[in-house]
Amino acid sequence: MCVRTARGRGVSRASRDYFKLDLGVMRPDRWLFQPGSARQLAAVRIGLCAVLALRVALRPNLYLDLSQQEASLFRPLSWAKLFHHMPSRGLLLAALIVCVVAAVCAAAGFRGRIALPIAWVAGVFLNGFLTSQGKVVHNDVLLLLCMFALIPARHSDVWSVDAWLARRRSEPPAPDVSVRYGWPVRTAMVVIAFTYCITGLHKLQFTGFDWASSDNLRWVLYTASDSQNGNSLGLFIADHPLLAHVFAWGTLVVECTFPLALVWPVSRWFYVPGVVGMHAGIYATMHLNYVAMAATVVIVYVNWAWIADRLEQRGADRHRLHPAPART
Amino acid sequence: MPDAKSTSPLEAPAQRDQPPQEPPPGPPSPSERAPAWTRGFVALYLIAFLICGAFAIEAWPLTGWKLFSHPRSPNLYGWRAYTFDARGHETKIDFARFPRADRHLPLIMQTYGNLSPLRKDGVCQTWAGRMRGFGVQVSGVRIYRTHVLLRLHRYHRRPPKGTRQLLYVCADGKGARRV
Repeated sequence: MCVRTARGRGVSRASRDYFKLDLGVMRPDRWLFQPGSARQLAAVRIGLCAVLALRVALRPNLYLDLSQQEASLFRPLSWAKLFHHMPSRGLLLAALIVCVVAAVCAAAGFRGRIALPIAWVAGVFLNGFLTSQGKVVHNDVLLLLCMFALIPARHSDVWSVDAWLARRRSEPPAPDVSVRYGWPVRTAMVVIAFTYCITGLHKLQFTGFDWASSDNLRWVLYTASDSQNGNSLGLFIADHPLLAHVFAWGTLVVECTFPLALVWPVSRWFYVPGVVGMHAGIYATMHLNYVAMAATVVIVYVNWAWIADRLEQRGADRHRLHPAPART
Repeated sequence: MPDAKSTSPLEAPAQRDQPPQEPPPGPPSPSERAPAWTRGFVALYLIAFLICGAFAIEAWPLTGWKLFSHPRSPNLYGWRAYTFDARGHETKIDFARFPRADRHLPLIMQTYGNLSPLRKDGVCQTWAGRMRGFGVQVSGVRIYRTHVLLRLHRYHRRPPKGTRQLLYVCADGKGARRV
């Protein structure tokens, strides 16, 4: 990825700023409501809604099987306390279909401003019951929290069926950069940064630095390995205390200092791969699937508008090098 | 407005939205300012998110983010549940064969002690009913607290042998009781 482009002579001020501390974050009212790119917001909409659609559509039994739970085992949390038992299979199936269809429509930007809230409500409904089995399930929470920030936003003004239909009706195109497109993405960035920070701080609050300096992670890995009838990677790390300490300290540092990614843009090259690697490690050793969290971080923090520009430019360069033969 | 150009895929939106070679735009004009309801929405949302996170409040989907935050010790305590027949012969309850929503013994046992005797018995009856469905003769359920010393795990793929202590018995017709 192209950090190089920001070096050398003729570097733009924006490029140099990329390596500097952005203390504008200290004024959140200004920082959050700066102008933003319509294409970046659209990319975040497409990514988050596609992940939600895939998460629900690829694991239907995870949700539908909830209906088989006996009422005596129901442990509702939050709004699910309004229910006395899990919903029926029919209701869960209806919610699942609504969630997938609405999320696909929202990703495509077809009636996006209506489809996205519907997909979000259905997603919260399904995952809320998943988390009512006695343990708080965090796997899809970050995805839903970032989607929530998009609900009132104008996320379907570009890269959407709605925008295509508007063009056909000869309506004026939406601006590429506007105040209305910046805050949803920045709000999602703040939510992600403080999610990891709070997770790390809770480790310090409940366990202190012993979380990393003691054998805490080794016991976690042994326990996780036993629940999988032996996990070679987890056991290897647990059998080598020094290695376990390195991973534990790495986790603590990445989590607690993640908000630095808001203040110092270049540090995202450390934090985004850092949390993706952390979730990959958790999956490899403990078989806990946090792919939705990792995907959410990538979707929100990667500059998709930049990638689209580069692809467009590359396509134009190729076209210039190989012009179409003139017709006679 | 110029097309948004930027320098890197992981840039801040504030920076990537600025055209290169030009100074960044000043504060947006009043007509470009975000409306008050938008500011209120974002402020309320972020405050609620931060309060729930900081004080570990579970108002799902707002959550306390207590992921792996509690310390683990080498003394691993767990739970095992067995059914027993009229002659006292025990059969381990195989939770992996249960419907997905009923598989989580450790999670159920977190709050089991605080349940009313009726609900405690209801949980046992659920497990007994499922085991009967597998063709096992069931007169009741015994729940054991198990203990494993993880220090002995090092360089062994299998967990070290643990100990167990009977904690609850649910006999048919007699309800649940703590031993």
